[in-house]
Amino acid sequence: MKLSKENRIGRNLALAWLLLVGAAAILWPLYSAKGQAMHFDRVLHAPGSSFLLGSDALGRDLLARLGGGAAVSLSVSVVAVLISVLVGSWLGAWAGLKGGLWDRALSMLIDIFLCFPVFFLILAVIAIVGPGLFNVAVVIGLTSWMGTARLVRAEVMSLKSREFVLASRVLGAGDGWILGRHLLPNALGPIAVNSVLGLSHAILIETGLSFLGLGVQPPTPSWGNLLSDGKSTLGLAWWMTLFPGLAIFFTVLSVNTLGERMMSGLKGRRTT
Amino acid sequence: MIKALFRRLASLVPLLLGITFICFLIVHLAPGSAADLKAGLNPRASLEARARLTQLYGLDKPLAQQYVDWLGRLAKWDFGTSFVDGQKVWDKILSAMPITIGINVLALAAALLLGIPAGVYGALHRGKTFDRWMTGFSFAAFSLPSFWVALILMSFLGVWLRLLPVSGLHSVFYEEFGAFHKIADLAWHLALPLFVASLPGITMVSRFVRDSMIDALSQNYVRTARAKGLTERAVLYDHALKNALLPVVTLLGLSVPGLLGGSVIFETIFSIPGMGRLFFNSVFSRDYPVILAMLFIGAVLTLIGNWLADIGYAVVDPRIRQGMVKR
Repeated sequence: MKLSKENRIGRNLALAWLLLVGAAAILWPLYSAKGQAMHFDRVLHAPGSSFLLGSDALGRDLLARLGGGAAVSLSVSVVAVLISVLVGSWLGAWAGLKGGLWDRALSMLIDIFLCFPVFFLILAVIAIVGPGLFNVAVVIGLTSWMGTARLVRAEVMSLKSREFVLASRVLGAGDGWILGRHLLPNALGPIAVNSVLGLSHAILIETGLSFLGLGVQPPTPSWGNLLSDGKSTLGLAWWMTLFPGLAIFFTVLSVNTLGERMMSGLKGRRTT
Repeated sequence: MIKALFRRLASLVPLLLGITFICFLIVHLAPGSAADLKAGLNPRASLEARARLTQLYGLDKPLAQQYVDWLGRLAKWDFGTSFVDGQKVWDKILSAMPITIGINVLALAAALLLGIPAGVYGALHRGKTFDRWMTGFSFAAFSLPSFWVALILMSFLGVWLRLLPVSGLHSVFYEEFGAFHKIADLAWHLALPLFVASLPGITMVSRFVRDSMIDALSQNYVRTARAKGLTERAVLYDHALKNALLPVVTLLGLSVPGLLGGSVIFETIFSIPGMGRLFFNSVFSRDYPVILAMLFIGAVLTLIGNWLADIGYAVVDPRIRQGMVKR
């Protein structure tokens, strides 16, 4: 597929940024000491020679904490997306394959879940199970599976009466084999696009929750709770508000750019 | 027609039951019980008090019985009293609801007023400078965390330039102001929150209208209208735009849960005493009855939004209207 020059530059920038952030996240254990070290003699220093992106109210290096935030925010979001894709694919595939009562039950369940403002649902569960890394990931995952379920259901319904599936059935294949061997591999493209777009949604929700103080709890850094430190130093330290926000923005923008590319790639392949 | 709408309303009843079931499950199947939490927050709560609470909320009864009891109270619109201040939950929600609904209605109005012209202009000048900028801008806006936008605006316009207030709905001496001054004061306080609340709506509506308008312009009825010799104005606005705007009604109905969820963020940041901040505060203080009631009412508002969108769609589209009556 040919891309226009602008699109190619956009895609390459997005990939480069995500590689950078990914590397920072994976290497976090190596420099986490730097991110936690407090220098009370250099509190709220502006970006400069001693701290490249400035220091926070406890004299911690903002750049190192942003790297830690990348590790935390990305891993929470990736786990959340994995959960939502697993739950959504499984429910959608089951309903699509079985049809009838199962199918109606799933559609009903999806309709009910879609009635809740997602943020309300997530906050209510957090109020009961408490905030924290693991809980946030699970709660985001369990409240965002509906799109994937609908998509997989539709894919499975359209695939299950194709010849190659019927042939497999004639040869005596069971439901599990057909799902795992024929239906899901063929639905993988749309599922992948859906999960990439789900990732940007998960990052925005996680950072939003942590910003409100209901997600990842300090001193563990997350891009969200770094921003809430920024709120408490508003007017004193612009770097505390600017850089964590830019990190979130660039990451979500990059993920969306790649998702868009994948989506148009998929559409192109299907129409030809 | 009226009958059809009521039939549509009746079909929402199973959804409503499902909503109550999910609400109940979330609050009751979690480890620990409401009595544990309430006692946990208050160090002086004795075992005796805990037992009394358990009895008050029927927590010692079987779950199914609790669910039925709760449904019974819900049917009488009784949400109980708040753990924090003993106030009736419904009174608390009722005082917060007009603020949130008011801001969101204004945000939607802004989204329509700015989004529709921008979308139409983009569709008519497809690929030109404005359209390309608009496309890039809305793509970026989808990736912007709203709380960050709020913070940046607050620090720039509120703290640095001191142009706009950064929290609350009124100035300190609001009560002494005259009527006109009161409205001006309110508008002044609402400027920032309203901008943050309407930004996603504006970009969404403009994208949607642009794509829908481009689609409509390639339809046969537009060619027919042109072939009949209608003026370009009549073709664009009476034929293409009318059809392109139909799906916007559905878009508005579908946006209700997102708006309610978003209000948690901007109301908390700007300290606006609406439903979002009430929900946030209840989550922070683990005020169970309020959380449960808000979850339920949030879902009911979404249902109402969808129902209104259905009505709106039937009002603007005769095909749907006839389809509904025939069924």
